[in-house]
Amino acid sequence: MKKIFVILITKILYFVGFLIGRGSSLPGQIALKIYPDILSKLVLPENIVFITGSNGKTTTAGMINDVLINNGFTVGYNFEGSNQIEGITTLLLRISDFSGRINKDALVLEVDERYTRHVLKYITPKYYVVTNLYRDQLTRNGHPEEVYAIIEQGVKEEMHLVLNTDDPLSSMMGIDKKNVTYFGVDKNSLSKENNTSIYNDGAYCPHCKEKLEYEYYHYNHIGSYKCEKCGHKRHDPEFRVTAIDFDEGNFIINHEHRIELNFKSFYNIYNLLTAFTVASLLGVKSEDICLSLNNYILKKERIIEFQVAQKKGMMIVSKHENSISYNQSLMYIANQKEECTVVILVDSISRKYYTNETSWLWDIDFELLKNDNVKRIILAGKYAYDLGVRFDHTGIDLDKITVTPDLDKMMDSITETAVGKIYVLTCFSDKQKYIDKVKVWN
Amino acid sequence: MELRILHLYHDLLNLYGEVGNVKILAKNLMKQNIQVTVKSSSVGDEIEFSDYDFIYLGSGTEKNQLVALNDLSPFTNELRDAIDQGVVVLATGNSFEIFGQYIRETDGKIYDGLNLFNFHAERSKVRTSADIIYSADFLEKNIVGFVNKKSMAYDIDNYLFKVKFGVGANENSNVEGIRENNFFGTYIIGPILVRNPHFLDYISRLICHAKDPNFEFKEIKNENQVKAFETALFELSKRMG
Repeated sequence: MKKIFVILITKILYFVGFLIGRGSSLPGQIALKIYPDILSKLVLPENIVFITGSNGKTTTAGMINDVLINNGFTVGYNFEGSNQIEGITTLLLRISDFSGRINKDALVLEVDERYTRHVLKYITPKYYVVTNLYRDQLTRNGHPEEVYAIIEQGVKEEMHLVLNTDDPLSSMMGIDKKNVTYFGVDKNSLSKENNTSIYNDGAYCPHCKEKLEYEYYHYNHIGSYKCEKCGHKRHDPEFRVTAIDFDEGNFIINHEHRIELNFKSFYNIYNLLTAFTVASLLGVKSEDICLSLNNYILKKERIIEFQVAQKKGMMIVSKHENSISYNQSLMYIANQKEECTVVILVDSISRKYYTNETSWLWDIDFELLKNDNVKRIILAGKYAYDLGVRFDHTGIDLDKITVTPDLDKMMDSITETAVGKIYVLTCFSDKQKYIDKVKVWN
Repeated sequence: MELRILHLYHDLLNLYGEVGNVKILAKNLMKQNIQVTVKSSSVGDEIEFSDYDFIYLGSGTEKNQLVALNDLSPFTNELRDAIDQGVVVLATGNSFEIFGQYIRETDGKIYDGLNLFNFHAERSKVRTSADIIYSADFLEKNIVGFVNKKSMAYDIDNYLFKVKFGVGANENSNVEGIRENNFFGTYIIGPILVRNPHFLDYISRLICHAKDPNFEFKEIKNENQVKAFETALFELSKRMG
């Protein structure tokens, strides 16, 4: 009786919230208050996928959802912003019937890495996917080793782990486990012998702390590693990227399945590979997955094309306090051949909390912009001067650089001095401050 | 003049962009027409500590901190000699705990420290993170920064900073860090010398004058650095009320 009541309340609250445009976590929060065990009283489908990790959760979950829907599955899926236990509760009670049964073929749930242990108390997924573990919002999350310890809590034998074999930290979860599928990217023309990043989180084995040996790196600490002491190493992945062609804009999985890239970045490849892996495990045919993932358009929140003063530009939304996210965007720009101007806007570090913490600017490889095609660099926002000091140490010609905390002056500088295509790197927290000043067309 | 900088555990204790401290210090000293050599060393390296004019250590994960402690233990006497000779040492984040008597884990397990100074650290169950403003009696301006730690320090005799905003050495403390001779330790993480140009200036002078008391240090300001500091201090002061 109580169950029906809580489900009803949640559905009503969600509907009211939807009408007035409120967030999706409150109904679940109230449901959990009235009935803390409600999640364990639901009858769930067999196919449940949890996706957690530092980067790429939202995009990958979205891709999996799209592939499944295109292939006739009915799916329960939490979209952005509702990846904590409250948001997940809202979703599940909203799509369940009054007996608490969810009549879907699959549940695809993105789970915030700090909350997996809470959700795992009530729901055991068939597939537990970890995209990667990077330095991400250390002010709030703590460092990656702490996050690892958290996402490992509550993992059960019957859960099938889906792990990134190229990441020494998150792949550690597969040690001594039987039920594991690894995905990874093989050595290719973009792989490097040395770690060229400003820091190296792969210097020591996360398992035993001996120095790790690397055969190659894709970026940062992502690559092929081996620990001579404890034996922790990159396992041969079952789902592997065997070739990448950025000029043609495609890559190949397991020597035969080609996927066309709408956005040519390593990041995007890992997300697509993860989605391919999960969809394959759920029984979708490889050809059908490729059809769904070909030219997959990233959500318009991530890549935004705009025009300002007759100049074309692209905003690549990156994450403040997440150096690898910035590095991926910078690598994309460094791989372009045409002349360009790069704007970096850091005005509010987070949209969820206040902090003045800027040390992450020294974890980002801004040196990637030391490239002939980059003609102008504009550093803007409240932290423009901090960026300015960081750029003093990149070896980039200072004559190319303008530093301005004032956003109107940033626009003047773009209008008057920008050369070639304009790339803007910023975070969700600052995105709108720029978008409001330009003409957007996607 | 020639100066030698040692970046100790550059690949183990560099959790928060702390390499920035070494980069900006080297650059600042070079502007004084000093020839600067930076040596990055790590686990297993043989090091003559007394060969250096400045030694820097940054923050690490709790595991990495203990790896560094274990590796550094056999060199305790050499390190003590170097500090006694006046070599300038800056240890930021949890690395300064290594120099105390011990670190006690939440389960009671104790790791002996290098025991160079009389204080100890206790691991906490939860992480403490906070924007901070500190003051120091040897600096005219305040220090801005960020603390992100999973431990507290107790029984520090000679503290480095007074807390004006944010957190201190432990839950009951309104002071923070340690200063003994030319050894500076603080829980502040990240590029503290980047964010605080006056502290960079102070440390630079100290290193130069330890080498040559008659060295004529020129005042050279980096405009962006000063403005970044002023912006941070202004923003944080607003929050202090």
